Amino acid sequence: MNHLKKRSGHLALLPMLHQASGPLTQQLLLEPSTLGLGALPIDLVPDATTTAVCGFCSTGCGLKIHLRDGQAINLSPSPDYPVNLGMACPKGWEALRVLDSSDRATHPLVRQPDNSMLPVSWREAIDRLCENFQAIQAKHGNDSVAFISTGQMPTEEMAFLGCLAKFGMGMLHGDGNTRQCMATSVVAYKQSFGFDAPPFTYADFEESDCLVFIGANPCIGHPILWQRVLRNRNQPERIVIDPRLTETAMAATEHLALRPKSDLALLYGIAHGLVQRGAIDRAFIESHTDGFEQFQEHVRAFTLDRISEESGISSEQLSRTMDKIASAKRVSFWWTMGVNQSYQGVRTAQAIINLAIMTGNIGRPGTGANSITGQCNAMGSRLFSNTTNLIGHHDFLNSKHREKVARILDIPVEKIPAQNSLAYDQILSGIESGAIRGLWIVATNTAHSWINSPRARDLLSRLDYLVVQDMYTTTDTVKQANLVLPAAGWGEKEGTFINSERRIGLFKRVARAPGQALSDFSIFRLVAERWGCGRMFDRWKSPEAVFQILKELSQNQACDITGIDDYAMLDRCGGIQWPFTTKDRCVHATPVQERRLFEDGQFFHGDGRAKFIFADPAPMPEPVDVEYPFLLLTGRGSVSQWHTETRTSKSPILRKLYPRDPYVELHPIDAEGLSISSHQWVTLTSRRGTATVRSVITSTVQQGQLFMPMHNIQTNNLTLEHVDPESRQPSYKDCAVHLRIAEKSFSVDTTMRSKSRSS
Amino acid sequence: MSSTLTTSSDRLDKPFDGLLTSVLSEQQDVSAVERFAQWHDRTASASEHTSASQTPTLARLYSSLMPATPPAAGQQYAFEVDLDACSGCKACVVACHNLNGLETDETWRKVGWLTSHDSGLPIVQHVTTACHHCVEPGCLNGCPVKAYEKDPLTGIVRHLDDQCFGCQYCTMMCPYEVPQYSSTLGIVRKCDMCSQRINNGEAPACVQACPNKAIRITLVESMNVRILCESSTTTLLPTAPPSHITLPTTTFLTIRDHRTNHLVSHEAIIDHPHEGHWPLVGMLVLTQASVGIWCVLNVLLWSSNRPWNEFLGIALLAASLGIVGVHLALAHLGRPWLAFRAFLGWRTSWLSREAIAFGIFMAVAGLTATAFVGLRLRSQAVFPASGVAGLQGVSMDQAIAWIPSLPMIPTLAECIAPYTRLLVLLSTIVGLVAVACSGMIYIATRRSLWSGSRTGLEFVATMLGLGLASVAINEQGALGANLLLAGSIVSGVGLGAKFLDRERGRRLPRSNPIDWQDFSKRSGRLLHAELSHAWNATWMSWLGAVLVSLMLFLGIAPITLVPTLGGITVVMLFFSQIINRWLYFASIVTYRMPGAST
Repeated sequence: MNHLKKRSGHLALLPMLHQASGPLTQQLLLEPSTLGLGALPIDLVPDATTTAVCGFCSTGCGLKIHLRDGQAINLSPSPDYPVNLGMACPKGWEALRVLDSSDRATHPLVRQPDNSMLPVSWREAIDRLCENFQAIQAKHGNDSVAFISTGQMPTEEMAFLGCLAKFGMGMLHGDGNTRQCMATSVVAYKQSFGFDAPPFTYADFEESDCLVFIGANPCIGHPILWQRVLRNRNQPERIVIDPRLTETAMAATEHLALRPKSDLALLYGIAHGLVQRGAIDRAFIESHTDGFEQFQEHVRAFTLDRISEESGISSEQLSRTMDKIASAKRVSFWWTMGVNQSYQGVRTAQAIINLAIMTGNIGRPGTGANSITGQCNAMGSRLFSNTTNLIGHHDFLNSKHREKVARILDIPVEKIPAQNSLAYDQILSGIESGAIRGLWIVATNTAHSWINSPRARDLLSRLDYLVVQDMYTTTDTVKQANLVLPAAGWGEKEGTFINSERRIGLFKRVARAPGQALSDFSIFRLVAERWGCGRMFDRWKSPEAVFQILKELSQNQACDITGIDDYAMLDRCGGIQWPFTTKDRCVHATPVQERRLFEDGQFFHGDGRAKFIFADPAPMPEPVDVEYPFLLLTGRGSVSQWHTETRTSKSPILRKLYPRDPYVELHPIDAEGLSISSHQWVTLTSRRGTATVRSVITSTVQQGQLFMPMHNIQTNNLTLEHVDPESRQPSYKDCAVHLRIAEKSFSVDTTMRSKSRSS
Repeated sequence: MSSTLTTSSDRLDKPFDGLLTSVLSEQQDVSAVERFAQWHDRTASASEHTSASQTPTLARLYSSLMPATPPAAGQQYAFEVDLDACSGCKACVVACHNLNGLETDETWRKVGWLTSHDSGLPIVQHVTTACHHCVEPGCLNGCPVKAYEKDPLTGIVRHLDDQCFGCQYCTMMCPYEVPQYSSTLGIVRKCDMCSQRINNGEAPACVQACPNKAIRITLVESMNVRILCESSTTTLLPTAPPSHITLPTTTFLTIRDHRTNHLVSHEAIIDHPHEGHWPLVGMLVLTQASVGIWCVLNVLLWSSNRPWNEFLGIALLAASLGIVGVHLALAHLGRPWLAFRAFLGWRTSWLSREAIAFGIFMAVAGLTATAFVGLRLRSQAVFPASGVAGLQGVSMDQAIAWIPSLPMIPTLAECIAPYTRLLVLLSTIVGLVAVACSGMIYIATRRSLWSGSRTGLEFVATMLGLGLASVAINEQGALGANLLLAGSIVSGVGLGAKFLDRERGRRLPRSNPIDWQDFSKRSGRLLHAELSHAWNATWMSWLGAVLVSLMLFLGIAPITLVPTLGGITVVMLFFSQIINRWLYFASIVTYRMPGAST
C-alpha cells in the first residue's frame, strides 16, 4: 500500500497526490446560464426555454422547460407564471423524468388466448377496436359500448373522445375519472350557482383574513397553493376542519378534529351560530340569494350542544371558531376530497356555499366558497368532455343546446343523444347486468382506483371487449385489457388544461414519444377515420384547431372564452381564466391575470340568485361495530405520490421520497391495545377484502380511526362502494375495518407482490 | 354504421394509411414548440441581452433569504430551517437533485418526519436536512486522502471528488450520514451548499425551490456554535446525534412547543441491518490474526529452546495473512488505484495512520518471514533435508526449495537471519500499533456500540484467539491442545457483548419510542431478528471449535490428531470471527437524523 509513497516527493506525482479538479469535479461544475435560470450543470445548459403547464394536479403550475435543439433536457418552475411564482412540488420537478421508463407502451398490444400480449401494427389495432366495438353494437345495440375518460388529458383530447364516441361511434354512455374527485363540487355549484363555477382566484389565499379548510390538506395535496397561503400578509386565522391532524392542521390557528362525517351537521351548526351572532349579510342575502329563510329555519335544530356532541368538538372551541368567522372581514372557505368523496358530499359542499353567501363572503377579494380541484384537467373535463354535460357545459336534454352544438360542429342534430349518460358506477353496474359489453378506458386506472376495486376488476374481466389507452403497459387496468393502445404523455403532445381557478394553460410537445406511441389526439383521429366518421371530424386536425371549436361552443356560456385568440395568446398571458369574452377582449387586450367571479353578485340561475340548498345529515351506512371496530379513512400519502402511481413510481427520486412499503396510520392507544408496534406488518379486513401493510403509530389520527393512502392498490380492497346520490361520487373515506397483527406466515413474497401490483 | 368497415375497407385504406403515416411522423417532430413566444430566450440572441437578463429571474424572490454580506472573520455560512414553515413537500430534495445534475437516485437533502407517541400531544413535524457544514467536520478529520476542505472564508465543507478514493470512512465519521457513496462513481459526494451558486450571488437550489421559504442561508459565529454545542445533551433535533461531536452549524427554528422528549422520528428508530463491508471484515480479521500470531510466536521464541526454524511455516502464515489482509482493504475502495494517497491525512485521520502502520507492518513482517527462511536455509546446510524435522519440516523444505534459486533473496535471508528475534519483536510491536489504529478508526466515530472497550475487546479477542489457535496447529502434543483451547476460548470473548445485547433486545418491539437511546438493546433486537442467521453461524461455529479443542484437551480425541483437528478448529474460528466482524458493522445502531432512509 505504501510502496508508492516513497516517491511522493517527485514533482510529477504531486497532482496525482492532490487532485482538486478533474473529470469527477467537472461532472458537478455549474455554468452561469443566460436565460434567467441561474447557474446550471454544464451538461444541462439549455439553448432555449418554453413554458408548459404541469400535468399532475389542478394547481396548474407553469414549468419552464429547458430545451436543447428543441428537445427537453430539464425543467424548473417558471418564475413568471401567475400560479406558482417560481415554485413547484416534487412531481412537477420530475414531470419529464417519468416519461422515461422501461414499461412505456411503445406498440399497440393485443391479448392472445394464452393471456400474453402480442405487439401489432396501428392498422391492425384500430381495425380490431372498430371491428369488436361494431360487432358488439350490432348485436347488443349502440349503447352497449361505453367509454371512461379522464381528467389527465388536455381539453382538446377529451372533447375529441367525447364527441367521437357519442356523435361518431353512436355511444350513449361515457364518464370520466373526474367522477371520483370533482363530481360533488360540480353538482353543488350547478345547483347553488346555476353553473359549475368555482368563483375564486389564487390571490384569494393571500387576501383573506380567515381561511377555512374543510377536508383539505393543501400542504400535501396542493403544496403550491399552500405557498400562496403563506404569502398572506394579514396574519389570517387558519381554521382546519379535518378528523386527522394533517400538516395543514398543524399550521392551523384552530383545528377542529371532528368525527368523520359529522361535517354536515357541524357546518349547519356554524351557520346557526353565525345567525345567532347576527354575523350575516342581510343586504346581500336579500338581493342576491334565494331560500335563506327556510335555511335559517333548517339550521335552528343544529344547536351548539348538538353539534358538539355529534362532532366531538368542545362547545368552547366551536364558539371560538364561530366568533373568528363572524369577526373576519374576508372569509374564504376551501374544500377538497374530504368533502367531495362523501355519500352526502353535495349537501356538505352546499353547506359551505351557504356559509359564504349568507355572510356575503363571495365576489370580494379573499372570500369565496372554493373547491380546490384534483386533477390537472378536471375543470376541462367538467366543461368539455361531453360526458355528463353536452360539450361546452350544455345540456343533452335541452333541444336548443343540441341544435347549437350540432350547428357549430356541423353535424346532424340527431347524432347528439337526447338523454343523459350513465355515471361511472352505473356503467360498471351495467357490465353486471349485461347492458354494457364493450368499454374504452382512456388514461385512468379503474382496476386500482375504483372503490371496492376487487369488484371493479371482476366486472372488467366480464366485458366482451376492453380497450385501454395508456402510457404504460403495467397499470392494473392495462393488465385486463384485450387491446392496449400506446399513448404519448404530457410533454410529448400539446393541448390545454384548465386549473382550479379556471385558468386555461398550455403545454407543448417538447419530447419524443417512445416507439410508436401516439398522442391520444392522433389515436382518436385514426379511430374516427377507420370507424367511418372521419368526415365528421374534418376540422379536428390539430389540438389548436379544436381549441377554436371549443371557443365557439363556449360562446354565451358562463365559461365563454371567445376573447382568447389562440395558443400563442395563452402562452403570452401566462394562461387565461374563463370567462374571457370578445367583449372583455375589447376592454383588456391582455386579460387581468387574477379574476374572480360574482363581483356583481349576479349568479348564473335565471333569476341571477344563488340558492340555499340543504338537507338533513344521514348516518354513514357502515358504522363501526364489534366485529369491525375501526373506521378507515383514505387519502393522499405524500406530495411525491400521484393517484395510482403509474407515473410517479417511475421517477427514482419521487420513489425515494415516500416509504418503501404500504402502511396504515393508527393511534398509539389503539396500537397498545392490540400490541402492535411501529413498522410491524398488520392485516386490515373489511366485509369486502383484506390488506396487509406496515403499521405507523402516530397520534395524528384519532383513536378508533385508521388512515391508509390511496396509492396502495390494497386500500380499495377494503372500501365500501357507496356514492352520493346527487353526484354519484364514491364515498372513499368511511368504511368499517378490523385490524390485527399479520400472520407469521406472511412472507416477503406477499410484500413484493403487493408492491409490484401497486406500482 | 357497423358494416362500413367491411364493405368499404379498401376504399378506406388509403386515407387511413396516409393519416397514420402523418400522425406517426408528427409525433416525433418537436420543432412545433418554436412558434411559441418564449423562444426569444434563445442564446443566439444572448449578445443583445443586457447584463440584467443574466440575473436569474428568481433572484428577487430569494434575495431576502441570503445574508447581505459575506462572512466576516470568525463567521461562516449556515443553513437555517424554519420548521414551522416546512410542510413536508420535499421540493428542496428534488430541486437539489435536478439543478445539480445528480445521479439517478442521488439526493443531498433529506426530509424526515417527527411524530409524537403522546396522545395528549399530537404532532407531525417534517424536517428538511442536508450537510451541516460543521465547525469540526467529522468527514474532513476522518478523510485519509484530504478530499475535504473547509473553506476558510465561507466555512462551507466541500468534497474534492477527484481526490476521493472511495474508502467511505467519511460516511462513518459523519454522525449525520451526509456523505453518500456512489458505487458507480466509486466516490462519495455531498452537499456543498451550492458553493458555486453562492459565489455567484445566487441562492442554493434548496433555498430557491422552497415554496414556503423555510430554508435560508445565514451567517453564524463559529464561536457561538462551539458554545451552543458544548453540552453533551445538545442535539439539532430529537433522535439526532449529540452536537458536540462535530459542531454542526444548521439552525432549526420553531415557536411550537415540541417538548422534544415526546417526539421521535420513526425513520431514525426503526433499525435495518447496515452494510457489512466484507473487504473490511476480511482485512480486519486477517491482519488481527497475523498480529496475534506474531504475539504468540514472540512469547514462544523467548520461552523455549526449540530450534527456531521449526517456526518457519507459522511465520510464513503470519506474514501472508498480514499481507493478504492489508490488500483486501483495496477491494473496499471505490478507486483502489489511488490507494497510495491513503497516508495524506495522517495528521487527523486514524485511517491514514492505520494505512501507514500496516504498510510498515507488511514490510517488517515480510522481512521477518524472510529471516525465518534464512534460518532454514542455514540449518539445511547442517542437516540436509532428511525427514529429521518431521512431516511439516519436510513439506516446508519442499515448499521453500525454490527459494535458493532466486536472486538476492537467499543472500538477504541469510544476512538477516541473525536478527530474527528482533524482527519478530518488531513485527509484533508494529502490528499492535496497526491493530490499535484499526480500533481507533471505529472508536473515533463516537458510536457507543463501537466504543473503546467494545471495539478493543473484540479486536484483541480476535487477535489473540486466532493467534493462539493458529500457532497451535504447528505444535505437537499437549502444547498444541492447550494453545488450541486457549485460542478458542479467548476468541469467544469477542462474541460476549453481542450475546448480552441480544439477550437484552430479545423482546424489544420493532420500534421502541420509549428507550430508543438504548442502542445495545436495539442492536440486540437486530441480532435476534434480521441478523439471526449470521449470529447463529457465529456462535455455533465458535462452539464447535471449543468442543473440538476440548476433546483434544481432555484426551477424548487422540493428541496425534492435533494438526488435523486443530486445522478444522482454526477454520471454524476464522469463520466465526469473520461473521462476527461482519456483524460488528451490520448490527451497528446509533443516533440518526429524522429522514434517515426507511
